[in-house]
This record gives sequence, C-alpha cells and structure tokens, in this order.
Amino acid sequence: MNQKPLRVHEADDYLETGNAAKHPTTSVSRARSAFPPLVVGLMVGCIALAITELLRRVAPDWNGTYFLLVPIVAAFAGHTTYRVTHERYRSGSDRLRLQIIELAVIFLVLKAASYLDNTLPEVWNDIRRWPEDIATFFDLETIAAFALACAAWFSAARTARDLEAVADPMLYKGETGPMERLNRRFLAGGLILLFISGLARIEFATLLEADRSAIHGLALNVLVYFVLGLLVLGQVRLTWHSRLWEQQKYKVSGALNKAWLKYTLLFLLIALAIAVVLPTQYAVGLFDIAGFVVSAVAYIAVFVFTVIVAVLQWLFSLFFKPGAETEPLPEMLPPSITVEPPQPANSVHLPWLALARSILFWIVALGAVGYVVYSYLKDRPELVRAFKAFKVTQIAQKWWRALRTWWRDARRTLRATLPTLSLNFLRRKERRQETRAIRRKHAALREQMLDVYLETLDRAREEGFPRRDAQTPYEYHHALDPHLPEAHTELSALTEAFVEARYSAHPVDADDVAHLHVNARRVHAALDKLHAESLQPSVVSHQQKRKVDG
Amino acid sequence: MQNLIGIVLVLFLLAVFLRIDFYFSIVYLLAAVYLLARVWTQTSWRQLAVQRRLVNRAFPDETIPVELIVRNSGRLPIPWIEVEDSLPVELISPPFYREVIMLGAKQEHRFAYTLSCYKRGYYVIGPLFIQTGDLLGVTRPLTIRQEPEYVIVYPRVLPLEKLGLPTHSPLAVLPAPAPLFEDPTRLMGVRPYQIGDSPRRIHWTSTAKAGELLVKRYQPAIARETLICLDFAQDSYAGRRFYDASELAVVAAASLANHIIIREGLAVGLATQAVDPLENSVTAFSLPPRRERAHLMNILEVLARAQTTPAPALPFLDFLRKETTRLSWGATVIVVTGVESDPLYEMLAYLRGAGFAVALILVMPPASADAQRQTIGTLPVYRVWREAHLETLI
Repeated sequence: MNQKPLRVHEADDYLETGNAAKHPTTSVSRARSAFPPLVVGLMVGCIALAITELLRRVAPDWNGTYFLLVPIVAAFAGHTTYRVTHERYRSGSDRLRLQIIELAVIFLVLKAASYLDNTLPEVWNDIRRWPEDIATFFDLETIAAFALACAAWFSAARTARDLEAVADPMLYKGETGPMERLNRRFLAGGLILLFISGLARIEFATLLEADRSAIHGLALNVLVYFVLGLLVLGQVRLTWHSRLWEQQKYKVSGALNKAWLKYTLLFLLIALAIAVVLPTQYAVGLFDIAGFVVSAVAYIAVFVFTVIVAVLQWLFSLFFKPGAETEPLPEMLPPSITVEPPQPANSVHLPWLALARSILFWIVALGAVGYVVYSYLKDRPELVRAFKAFKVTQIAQKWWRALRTWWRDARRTLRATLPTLSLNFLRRKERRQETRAIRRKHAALREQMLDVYLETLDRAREEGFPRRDAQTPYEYHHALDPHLPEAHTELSALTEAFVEARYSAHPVDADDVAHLHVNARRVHAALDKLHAESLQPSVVSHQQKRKVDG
Repeated sequence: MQNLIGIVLVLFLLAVFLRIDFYFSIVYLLAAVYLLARVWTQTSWRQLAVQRRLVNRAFPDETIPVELIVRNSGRLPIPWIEVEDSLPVELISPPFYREVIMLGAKQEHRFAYTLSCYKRGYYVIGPLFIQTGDLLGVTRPLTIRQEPEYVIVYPRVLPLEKLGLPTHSPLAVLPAPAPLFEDPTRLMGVRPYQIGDSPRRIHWTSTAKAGELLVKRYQPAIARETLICLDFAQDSYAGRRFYDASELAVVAAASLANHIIIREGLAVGLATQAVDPLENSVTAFSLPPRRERAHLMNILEVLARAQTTPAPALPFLDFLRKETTRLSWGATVIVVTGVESDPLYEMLAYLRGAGFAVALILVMPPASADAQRQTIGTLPVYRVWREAHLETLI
C-alpha cells in the first residue's frame, strides 16, 4: 500500500494544504477522528455478539470468538478505509482496487482464524487438500463469517460516508439526507439486533403456547447498541447544527461542543436508568387483567344493587305484610359473582402480589407507550387530520356521533317523561326549589364552562393572540376570528356560550358543557394547525406579525 | 427520528407477544428518550425569556448600544439556543445578529451590539427569533418570536448659517417685536380643540351646542407663527441626485424648525404629504404651529419617518392652499420644494396677498453663486443644494 496519492488536478495540493491547515493533526483531533469508527465497531460488535449467541445455540461446542471479533475489526477497517481513501485517492478505480484488496485480506484473516482450534498438522493437511477440492478453501463457516464481515465493512463505510456528508453538504448525494440515512441505519440495525437476540433466547416449540413462561434477563449488548447509537446520533446532530450555523454565520459559543456531549451523556444515562428501573416482568397477561377488572366492577355493581334491593324489600315488607315474617333474602337476590384473581403461572403462593405487580407493569408499559403516541400526535396535528380523513375513521366518527345524539335524545326524552310518572311530585318540588346539591352541581357546570373558555384563551395566548385586559369577550372574538377562519362558527358559539354562562343567570346543563367542549376542541384544532404552520422553518422566518387589537 | 414512534409501537407489540423482558427495556429506553427530550425542550422553551434594551431615538452620527438578554428561569439547563435578530442594513452590517449559546439553570446571557445611525429614518429592529430543541433531534425545535422594536433617527439639524438662510427672523419681515399676537377682545370664531390648547380658550357655549370641544379664535394683531410646507413628492426631486435633494429638503425643514423654536422661541408647524412607514401608506402630516421643545421633537420625528411619495393624495399646491386656510393672519409660510414653476409662484403671490409672509426654499442647484439668494417680486427665494456648498452662501 505504498501507492502515492493520485494527483488529478492542481487544486489537489491546495485542497490538501487547506485541509491540513484547517484540521491540524493533534492528539485531540486524532481522538475525535478515531471516535466514530470505534463506536461503529462496537455497535457492529453488539450485533455480532447476538449472531454468535444464536449460532452457539445451534452448535454449543463451536468456538465463535473470532466470529465476534472479525465484524468489529471489519467495521473499524471499513470506516477508516473510507476516510483514508477519500482523503488520499481521487480516482474511483484506485479506491475500488484498495477496497478489493482489503476485503481479500479480511477473507484470508478469517480463513486463518477458522483454524485456531486445529493443530498444525491438521491445518497442513487441510491446506494440501485445497488444490484438489476448492470447496475446502471456501467452506461454509468461512463464507458465513466473511459475509458478516462484509456487511459490517460496507455498513461502516456507508456510515462514514454519511457522517462526512452531514459535516459537508457538498458530499451529499441522493434523495434521502445523510441524517435520515444514519437514523434509518441505526434503527434497522437495532431491529436486526433485537430480532437475532430474541431468536437466540426464544423456545420455538412453545412459541404458540398461551401459558409459556417469559424470557427474563437483560441483553446488555442490545442496551449498549442503542445507547451508543443514540450517543452517535447526538453528535451527528451537533455536526449538522454546526454546519448550518457556520453557513448562516452564527457565532457559536466555544463551550458548546463539550456541553453537548456532557448533556447527551447525562440525558442517555437518565433514560437508561429509567429503562432499567421500570418493571419488565409480569405474571398475568393484559387480557386476564382486563377480565379481572371487568369482573371486579361487575361484582361491585351487583353488590350495591343487592344492598339496595334488600333495603327496599325490607321496607316494603313493613308496609304490606305487617306481622308477617320477612322472606329470606337470598331468594330475592341476584346470583352473586365471585371474583377470583387470575392465576399467574409462576407465583402460585402469592397470587395477589403477582397480580398487583402485573397491574403495575401494565399501567407503566401502556402508560409509557400511550403517552409517547399521544405526545407524538399532539405535536403533529396534521397527522390527526390525515387520520380523520380516512374513510374508516369517518364512518367510525359518524357512528360515534350518532350514538351520542341517540344518547342525548334519550336523556331528553327521559327528562321530559319523568314528571308525568308517579314520582312527578318530587320533580315539581325539585323545580320549585333547587336543593343545595343541585345548585352546587349547576355551579360546577358553570365553572366548567368558564374553565373551558379560559383554557382556550391560554391556548390562543401561546399562539400569540393574548387577550388584553380591557377587551370584552366579543372584542376579543373579533380580533381572533380573522386568524381562525376554519373555526369561525365554533369560536362564535364558544364566545356566546361563555358570555351566557358568565353574565346571565340562565341554568347551565351538561349538554351545554358538552357543546362547549366540542366547540373548544375545534378552536384548539385550528390553533394547532396555526402552530404547525408556524413551526415550518420557512414560515418561521417570515412569520407575520400577529397582533390582536381591539 | 420520525420512525421512533413506529419502532416503539412495533417493539411493544412484539414484546407482549413474545414475552421477552429486554424488549420492554428497549421500549422504555426509546420512550424515555422521546418523552424526556420532549419535556426538556418544552420546559426550556417555557422558561426562556428574552429582552432587548435600547434607546430608540438618536441623532445622526450617534450610536445606539443594544443589549439582548436571554434568560433561563428554569431549573433545567438549555443545551442550545439559537438567537437571531434581524437588523436594518442602514444601521449595521451584516444586517443580523446571530449567536448560538447554551444556558445553565437560572442563568442569563447578555449580547451587545451597536447600531450606527448615519441616516435619518424609521427603522425596525427585529423580530428576534430564539430557537431551541433537544440534543437528538427527536422533537421539533420550538421558536420564540420577540416583537420588533423601532428606532427613529432624526434628520440632521444644521445651523441656518450652513444652509445659507437668514438667522434673525423667520424669513419674513416683521414690523416689530409685538408682544400681542392675538387680541382676546376680538373673537373671530371657533375651531376644534387641539392638544396643547389652553383650557381658558374653550368656548363652552359652542362646545355644549356642538357636542365637541371648541376653542375660541381671536383676531390676530399680527401672527408670529410659521408653517413649513415640505413638498415630498418624488416628481419634485427628479433627477440624478434625487436622493440627495430630497434628503437636503428634509434637513432644511428640520434646521428651520429647530432654529425658529430654539433660537427665536417662536411657534412653528409642519405640513407635508409623505409615505409613513408606520402606516405604510401616504399620510398627510399636519402639525399646527407650537413653540414647545416637545413639539420640535414631534416635527423631527415626522421628518425622520417621512419618505418621498410617488403619488401624493393632493397636488402640492392644493395641499398648500388647504393647510394655509387654518393659519392666522400674518403667519409666515415657508415652502420647501425641489421644483419651481409658474403655478407655484402664483400660489405664493396669492398667499402673500392673503396676508401671509411667504418664503420659498428651492432645493436645486443655483445657476451661479449670486443666484442663491434672490427676490422675485417681493418674494424671498433661497436656493440650497449642498451642505458644504451652502456654507459659502452667507
């Protein structure tokens, strides 16, 4: 490899001199340039470890140490070679020649490594058989190891290319940006790693059995892969920002690089601690838990009903059968429901404790995933709108609305019919004089309406439409309305409802609150859309002055 | 990292189906990364406050130090904050201030830069954008927008000697230093109340009848008030040196106003039609004559903001006629324009005949040094063209 760099044109000298001047070779810069290949090598090593574990499961006596080490070395070499060849060689054919030679060397090293368990005569005998039977040279084990090494080598080289492209947009090629490619590669590698690690641990024979036991234990290599990957992505993000800041002539604080690394490490450490601390084991499945909760609720309802019936029965027995003995209660009562906790597979002695742990687990797991999805959708109202545009969603929404309308109508009918029933004297009395509880309930509904309106004001203020102290609700409405043409009707209805609730003595019922909630949600959706538009970089820089004037 | 949510969901379902514990750990790790990043970014964004400190009035050749204060009032550090302030190119180059900083908990950072005011005008400082986000690019960056502020650079005010204009009187000949300008015994009529009018002048009977505040107008013995009428139509300053000529007209008007109020202690007003950057439309400025210093600053502010207009609402001569109808008899009218014409002279002769003292300042090159000051009939005409050139005029 003593080939001198090929000079394509005179600018090469200038470029090299310029690069050398720009990046003086110091111990710090050497360490920084060695950091990415080292991390990429370690990440590939995590995948290689999973593959080795899987293969050892098939062949427990196989010595796969070299199988683990070779991809790490190949990844390191691939990353370094890419950088070296691109710095020193301008010609594509030179680079290709060097890469072929390097892969050939890797193959030979692998072949040599496959003989580590053999004695020297065995190796010699095998070598003598190569000319007669070429298949002994290209044996399956070596080919498999070589394929793994090649995959590591190429992915590391591609990663090196994308890392350079992030720092220098002139190197960017293709439709997908280098940042996106790196993200995808990291996640794809993570999924492959998870898949292989899962395969290495799972019992295929019991895969479809409902009561099979869980696979416990922490896969350290998987965690290390993800943490290292996130660390690299953090640094890539910094590089990307730095390049943009440099282009746009930002003055950048000198301490930013160190602080970025420090905060990324701290951030990942906290995330890792959370991941390790949160429960991962459960004894009772989600459907069993749900069934238990439903049966518990049913049990409570039946119990309450039983108590009420028993009391009524006792009262009626006093009026209609004076002196007669009371019928035994159990005959009148509905059949009781027994709630037995679902039996966990491994915790026979402490079923309730296992149940509590399982409930905790499901609350945490579902809460975490649910909140992630909720946050994601909240930040991207355009996705929610797109989801609502689906035919199936629209049909579901239509059904839901129809159900709610039916329920509302049913309540109205019931409310209208009730006074004509035998208990109507109670109703009349109720109308004549509201009890304190009902007054409190109405006041609570009124409070709710005010809260919903104030919440909308807060949301609008966040979007740059604050209400001035002197503005009346109608003035504020006139100021805000031009900015939310999509929610014109809802905003008017919201304002009207608020004014009525706040400044009149008209009674407020739950329907009014429900209507107000619907209108407020639509106004919020319009504000969300405005927020999403304002977050677009091109829009942000040309944001119009939002001025709410009375 | 848009795919992160999809990965979390798929992984969670796989973990539930396969019952592999460490899958849950990875789900938690990715979920924690997303949620922590989101919470951190949003909390930081809420706790960020920004303030711009500057003096928003300046005279030419002065500098305005600007201080930006970015404050993190929260307990969490903010790893990166992009600060971008848009600035007018007339005041600073490059026309922006951009810096990236990090802020620890309860920390603040102060930026300072200086605006150099060379040219009169009304300048918008900002808007100021502050952007922050997470370290991994998991969530979208959030932006704070600080509303723009404004800086007014007054027009250059020169001593009249430099402009080659007389310094001892407001251009017109006064018979004597008369202490009585209005005769309160001779009521001429009423006019609407204007800010600055003495409450003693309010005509309460008419006010009650008309439903608006009206003040008395007395017959003047002789008025010692001056109205500067500035022609700011683009056509009036056509030519290769359009910009210099129109600016010189403003300097002349500002210098006259300053001289009359400060040196002579007399009232001066201003009337012009110009584009007002505040309204972004042609505006007719009409400041009635007053003698207070605050009024001078009002005149200077209007002159600072005024931009030449290609299409004034009224032709200048009509505007001049309209503005002079409100003046008291004997007042002085100074017309500053860049073009001379027969209708202009006819209008000035008419005003003179109507009892006003009239002077004309033409911003145009004189044919010769002697032609800088001349009298056409009884009308004093002054030609000004260049500040340096004007010094030799006296």
